[in-house]
Amino acid sequence: MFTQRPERQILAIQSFWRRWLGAAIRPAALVPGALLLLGGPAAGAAGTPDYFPRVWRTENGLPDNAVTAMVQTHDGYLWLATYGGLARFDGVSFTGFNTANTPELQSDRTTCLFEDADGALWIGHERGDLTCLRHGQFTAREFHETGNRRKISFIGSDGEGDVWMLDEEGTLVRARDGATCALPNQDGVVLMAQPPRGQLWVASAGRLASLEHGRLVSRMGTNAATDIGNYIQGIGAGRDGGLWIVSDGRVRKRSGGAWVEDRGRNPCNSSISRMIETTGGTLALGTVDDGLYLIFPNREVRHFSQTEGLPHNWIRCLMEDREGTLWIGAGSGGLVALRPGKVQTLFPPDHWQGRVPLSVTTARDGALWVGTEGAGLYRFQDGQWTNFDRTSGPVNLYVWSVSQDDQGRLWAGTWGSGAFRQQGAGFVVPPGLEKITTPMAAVLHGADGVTWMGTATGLLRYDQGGVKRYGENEGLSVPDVRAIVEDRDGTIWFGMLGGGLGRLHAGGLKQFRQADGLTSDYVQSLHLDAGGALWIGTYGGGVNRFQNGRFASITSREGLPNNFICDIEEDDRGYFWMSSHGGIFRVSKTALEDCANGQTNRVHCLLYGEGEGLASLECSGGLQPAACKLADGRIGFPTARGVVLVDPANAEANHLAPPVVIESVIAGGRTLVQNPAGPSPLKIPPGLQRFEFHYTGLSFIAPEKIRFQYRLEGWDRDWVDAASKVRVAEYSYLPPGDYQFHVRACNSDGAWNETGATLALSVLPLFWQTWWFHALATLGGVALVAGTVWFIFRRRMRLKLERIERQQALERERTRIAKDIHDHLGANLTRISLLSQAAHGELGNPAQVAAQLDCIYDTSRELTRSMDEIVWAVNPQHDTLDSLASYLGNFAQEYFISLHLRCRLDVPLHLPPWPISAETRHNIFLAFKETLHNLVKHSGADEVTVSLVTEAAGFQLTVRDNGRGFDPAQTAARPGRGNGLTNLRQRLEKAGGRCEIHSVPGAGTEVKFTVRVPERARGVSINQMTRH
Amino acid sequence: MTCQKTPVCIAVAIVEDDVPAREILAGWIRNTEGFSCVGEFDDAETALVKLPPAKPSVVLFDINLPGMNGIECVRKLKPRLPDTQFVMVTVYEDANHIFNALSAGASGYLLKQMRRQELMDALKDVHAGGSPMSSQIARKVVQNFYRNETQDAAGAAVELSPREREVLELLARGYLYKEIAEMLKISVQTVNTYIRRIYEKLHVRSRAQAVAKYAHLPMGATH
Repeated sequence: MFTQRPERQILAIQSFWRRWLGAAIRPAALVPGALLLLGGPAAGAAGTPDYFPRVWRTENGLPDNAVTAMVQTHDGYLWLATYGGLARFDGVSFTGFNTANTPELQSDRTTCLFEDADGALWIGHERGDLTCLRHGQFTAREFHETGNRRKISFIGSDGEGDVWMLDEEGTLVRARDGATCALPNQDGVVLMAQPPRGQLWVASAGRLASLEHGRLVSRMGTNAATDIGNYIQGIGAGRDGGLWIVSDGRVRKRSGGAWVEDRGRNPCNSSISRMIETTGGTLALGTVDDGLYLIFPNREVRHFSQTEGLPHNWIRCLMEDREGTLWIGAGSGGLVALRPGKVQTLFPPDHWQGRVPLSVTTARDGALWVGTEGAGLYRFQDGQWTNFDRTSGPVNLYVWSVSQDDQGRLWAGTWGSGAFRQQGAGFVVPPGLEKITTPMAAVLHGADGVTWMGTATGLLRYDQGGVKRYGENEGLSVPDVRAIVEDRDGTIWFGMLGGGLGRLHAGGLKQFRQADGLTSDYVQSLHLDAGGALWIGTYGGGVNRFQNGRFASITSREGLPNNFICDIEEDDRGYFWMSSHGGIFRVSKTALEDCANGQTNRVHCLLYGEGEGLASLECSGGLQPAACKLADGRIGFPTARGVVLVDPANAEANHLAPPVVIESVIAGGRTLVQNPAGPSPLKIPPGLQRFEFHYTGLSFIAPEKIRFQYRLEGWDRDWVDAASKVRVAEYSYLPPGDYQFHVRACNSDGAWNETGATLALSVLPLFWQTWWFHALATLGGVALVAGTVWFIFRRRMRLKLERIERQQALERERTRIAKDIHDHLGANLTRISLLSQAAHGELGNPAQVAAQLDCIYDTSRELTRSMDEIVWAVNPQHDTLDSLASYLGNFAQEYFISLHLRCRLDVPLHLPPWPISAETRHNIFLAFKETLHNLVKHSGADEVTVSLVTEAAGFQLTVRDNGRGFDPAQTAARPGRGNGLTNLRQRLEKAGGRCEIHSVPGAGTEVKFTVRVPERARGVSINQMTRH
Repeated sequence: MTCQKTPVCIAVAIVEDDVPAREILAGWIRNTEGFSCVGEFDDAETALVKLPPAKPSVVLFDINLPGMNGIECVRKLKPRLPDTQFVMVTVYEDANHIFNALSAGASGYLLKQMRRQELMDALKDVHAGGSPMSSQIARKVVQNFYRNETQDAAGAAVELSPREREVLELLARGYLYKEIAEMLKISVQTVNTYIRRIYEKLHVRSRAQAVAKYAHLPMGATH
């Protein structure tokens, strides 16, 4: 199933075109074919190129579809006059100038354009107004009112530098002073022509005159035989200074008072509106109602009208740009570019019946044979097309492969009916092949009279009626054979769609697949070069080379325009021509070899696409042959829109590097400058963000293929590659300083304009970016840094000390826990073991045993309580003031209950969430416990109150009894008791607090612990606490 | 069989993973008149399945069990056995654990190193409606009720009555049940009733808070 996919895709694409062509045959598609039938050369001879139009309308950005005049200014822009204002065109976008955005432009209905020697652009209007654009400034020109505001049809300049306007009635008006001169004209077309370094010529109502020192001098003579004719139908400037004149039904050039060239009969069936001579010497004649005529130097004539793809038959204006493109303002049909294509497209008169040509081959008699998808076979010989349908050709009309054997018979491999061979006037199935009906995509006639056929189920060897199949049974997997070649030693190589590459050598089969180094298992074309290297075109994997047992690949990563290679042909100039799904391209064989050998990783290709005249980029492939070489060296490729012929001799790259222009600089959302010029750097006000440099390259052949690189010197280290269509360099922020913005471009054929365009700019600093501010700031900064360093140093020292302290506290804590476990638990456990031993010894005395068991019970219970205390003390969950208060309260209560003392707790229900470290808690607890012990031992009280109050910086824990009290002064003198108090004080000191004892004999005792909670700890939030 | 002799028979079950300890406790219960041991379970998972059919009056529950802990288990069992009193048994008097157990539905707690008589008294006490509460726990309960208002399933606020609050605050300040009864001119039994009621409200609050907590979590984030 999977192996069928590529084929289905091909079919799908082809059927799409079939439907498309069948449904609506667009005039443009028919131009080349129609031309060919009208006067084109036979396929056997190289002739004048095909022209193909490209149209821009308002939907593409044109201000108005009525384009009245065009001029390419010295900077490379195309300026267009329309009825919707002026437009500047760079090949990609139109910049409009109208009365709304340019009030100096007196009206939007502009009718003619002229650039003078100083580079000023003159704009004529329909109502007789004149505007001048000089150095980016539009100015309305005042001249003496002539009284009648007529449409200005032409503008030109005389030898003295004066600008003259020609109005629609044949009156010349001098822009400087409004002086006029006229040829009387009642009706008819007026024309103006100005050959280089020549005078201004005016034709009006069939009469011709030239401007001499501000006066019109008639050039109509009296002698009809030698003179210029009775009625002048058209004039056009000759490139060499002469004047082309259409008169008396002929097109001739006049120079030095005599006819110097005759281009033959005037072909136009309508009045001539414009006439120019192109750089190649071809005359272009625009008419009022009959489209455009091209008269080539060899007198060949081509006609373009609405039938051939022009949007309108009224040629309002004509111009040729520096790259040889003809620009046409066509009626109300928009702007048209007419370019000689680099390719010629062959079409039979029936246009393949709407089908797609699949395979092509040349026969030895010079005929070109074309197999089609559903329209049978076509033969093109001596300018004649012949179609072989079911009656005269193969019964199956889906001809995937065409070839001629050494006896001159044509073979056709079909999709569904196997092979057919020419016999007499018709085609028959060769004997022995009657049962072969699998799709046959390739037929190759081998050196020894053997015919090899590629089918969907394997390779067939056909010899004298005998058939041998190499397919799955012979060990091939996915043997959908699409291409076959035979090398000099008789080895057969075949490409399989899905099965990779196969080799049949001396009866042995070998299959090469992706695992062996191919970039794709879908091999659809093969080419053997003279050196024995096998070039493999794949479906999606680019080109592979097989040489000396090794595969090497060249793909789009290395610069191929497309990875779907339909066929590979070689010209006599060292180039490979490949057809693909992205057009036809040429690549140097040496470059391919270098790349395959790993010497470079880049190949440069010359791509033929829409800009070169290809009506479709989709070439036919997956069959053989999908390309063929003609006797004259041209190469034919079947494409989805006809058989395309390329001429390697005419494959010159466009070496004219595109002019580069910086159009505007926008910063902070506003346009700082339009068309910056001049050496002084552009001053950019301070504080702006988002800089945009709008630039463009002015090549009109394939504007979408222009590549740009830009670099902001002072910011970018390297050139930045830019997309062709965006044409904006953006910088989000530029620090104050001097910069140079450079941009360069290369055209579709790789011709770089290295000079490019440069703009110097200087971003001004804000006051805090000036040197004095910096000096001050630096000074301040140094001080700040010094201070910070000092501060950090101090802080670090403090932190370090704190860390050491914490470390020590932790160690103390661990030591204490170890001591506690040793003292309490160890001692108690020892006691339990001793008691149980003792009880054992006293088994005869039950009362003694009971007493000892009670003792064990008490000891173990005591043990558990100690454990409880230790666990409480070390568990970080209890590191809160609340837990401390709660625990102390509980302890006091249980302690006093067992001793039948009343215990009152006075602890606020809500305590601040202060953390109290384990060590502090432990010390407070021990001090508390000791206080309670002392109380019980000495006070004789029956009620004890434990209270806790919080203060700003800590808390107070008070134990008050109603006992007998004592006299502190006396107590201090008594060594034993004083010792106990000293202990308390020491513990409290460790906990960061102090201990006070107030007692009055007979009025109870009050022991007060005041504990400071560090500020740091007090700042700990509740959230942090509740994490526990 | 010990039950046959006395009119009141307290059916006790034990959930405790320490087998020797459990067997001693079970022995004490079996050998005391008025008590029967209706079940001994190793872990919470078994107890969840087998405890409800045994219908004990009182369950002794170890807090630290392997797998699901005792508190969680009580939380699940209490709604299914509303008349059963759960008494938590713990080695250490950890206020947090005990409070959580009480919130989950327990009615009291015992320390493991109790004397036999203490155990029997506590069991009788609990069965008779007694509810032990230490000042430490009382403190926590008060704090919990002050913290925020909580509503039960019906939407009513679960708050303490003034009298309950009074009892609780006295407890927190270290007064004994007897002293509280005297001060408030009520019987000790009434103090016990108040405490029992406080436990119930705590339990309701705990459940409602759990529901509220999970209800505010987005779907799917609960695991």
